[in-house]
Amino acid sequence: MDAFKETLLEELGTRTVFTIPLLGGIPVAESVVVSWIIMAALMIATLLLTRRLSVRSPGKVQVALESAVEFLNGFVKTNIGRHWRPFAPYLGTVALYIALSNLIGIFGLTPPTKDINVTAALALMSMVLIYGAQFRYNGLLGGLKKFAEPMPLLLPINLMEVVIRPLALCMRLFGNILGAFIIMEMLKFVAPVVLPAIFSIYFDLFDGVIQTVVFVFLTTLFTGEGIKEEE
Amino acid sequence: MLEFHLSNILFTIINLLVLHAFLRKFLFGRVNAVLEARAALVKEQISSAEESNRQAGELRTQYETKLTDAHQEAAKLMADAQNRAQRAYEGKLAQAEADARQLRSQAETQIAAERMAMLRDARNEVASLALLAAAKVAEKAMADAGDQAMVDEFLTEVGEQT
Repeated sequence: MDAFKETLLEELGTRTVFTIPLLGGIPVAESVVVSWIIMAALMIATLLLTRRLSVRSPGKVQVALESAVEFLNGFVKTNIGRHWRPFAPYLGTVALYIALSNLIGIFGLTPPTKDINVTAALALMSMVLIYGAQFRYNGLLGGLKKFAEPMPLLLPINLMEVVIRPLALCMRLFGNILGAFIIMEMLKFVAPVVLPAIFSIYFDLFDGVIQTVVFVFLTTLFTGEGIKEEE
Repeated sequence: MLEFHLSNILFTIINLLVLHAFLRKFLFGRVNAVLEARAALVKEQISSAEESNRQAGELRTQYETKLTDAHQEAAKLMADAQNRAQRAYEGKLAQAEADARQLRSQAETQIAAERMAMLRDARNEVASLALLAAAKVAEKAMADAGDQAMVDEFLTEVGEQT
């Protein structure tokens, strides 16, 4: 049992796969390497799928691709409003990356989102996106005024949210994926045959997709909140 | 244990930016371009269809007015022709009637003239006959009063008949 506890604690941290011998050695974590694999897969798939796009006679794959992109565009449009255009590609990228990261456990690789550094980076990017958009589309003064909305009394809470929002995003994703990972490890430890396969459907597939949706949805919602009322 | 590595965070951010740039260009850019091109195509086709519809409607009204014009023209021509034919017919009829009347009157005058001539001839004949008869009677010497009376009567009768 102690050995099992040790392995679980070990799983909390990040394994360093190799170290770049520059500037006194830059460690490259397992999550980063898996991220590269995911990126490579996404890029290759993109290039394969968008090879022959046709305006007049789209094939089945193109139709599916188009409906997915249209769904993303519509979703971002309803939540962000007039200035949706520059946000859709980033949110789509994040959605694809997180979804693949969460689901890659099925293929036996460690999910990058189990690494808190990855989710922290994602949350930091979201923070930059949310407050960057707020100042970009309202101006410096308008952006600052947004913190006093809907009423000046909420100013401290709104300021605290600058930190709370990314922290919550980071911890929610990390906690869910790590929790699912640990539960799956325990299940494999207790009953290594049929049970893990069944529970994997929930913990790897369902939870992974849900957490993707939650992360992207909240980022979109917060971004929209910062700029939408301007219209 | 749970720990933050700056290098790890930076790697992830760079990864995300690279992936974002790539996907924006090759996935979302391409697909959105196709979607926009299709939307533009549909819009253009709809507007061109509306345009040709409008043109067709215009042509139709044009043809309809032309057709009505033609109908009217034809009716007018027909009426004209009928009018003219009627007039010609009436003219011909009147001419024929006048001709006939003239012919008849000519014939009548001719008949009358002939009759007159015949009568005159007959009277002349009778007169000469009477003269002849008178001469014969005179030759035989009209002695008695009976003969004288017969000649007188005869002459009166002839004169009455003419």
